[in-house]
Amino acid sequence: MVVFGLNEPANLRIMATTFKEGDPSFAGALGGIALGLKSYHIFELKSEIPADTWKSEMAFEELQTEDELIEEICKTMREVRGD
Amino acid sequence: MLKGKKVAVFGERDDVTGLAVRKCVEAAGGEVVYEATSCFV
Repeated sequence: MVVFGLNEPANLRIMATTFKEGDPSFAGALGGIALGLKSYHIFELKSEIPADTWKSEMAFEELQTEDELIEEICKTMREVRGD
Repeated sequence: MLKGKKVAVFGERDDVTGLAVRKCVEAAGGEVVYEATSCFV
């Protein structure tokens, strides 16, 4: 599986789609090559991460990021996975 | 979900870095097989 830390939904959509279905632009080496990998953003996996690690590595970033953007990121990732 | 999984990590220099994601994934029992931090600006 793939886990992202970038917070730009458009880039996330392209990268997650590439790892699942192949490069949608057919410009790169993965054009037409479907790896079938599931992608997640680290914000989606909060419940999986031990609380002390989340606090030291992610709490500040989570605080800095607007709730609307986090929701958009999670929605984008769910759409690409087909959840 | 992460326990025992092989994971490729892609971080962003100005968002969440690959190292921070790696620490989270490994703490949850995942195995990071690739890690990169890029700048997409």
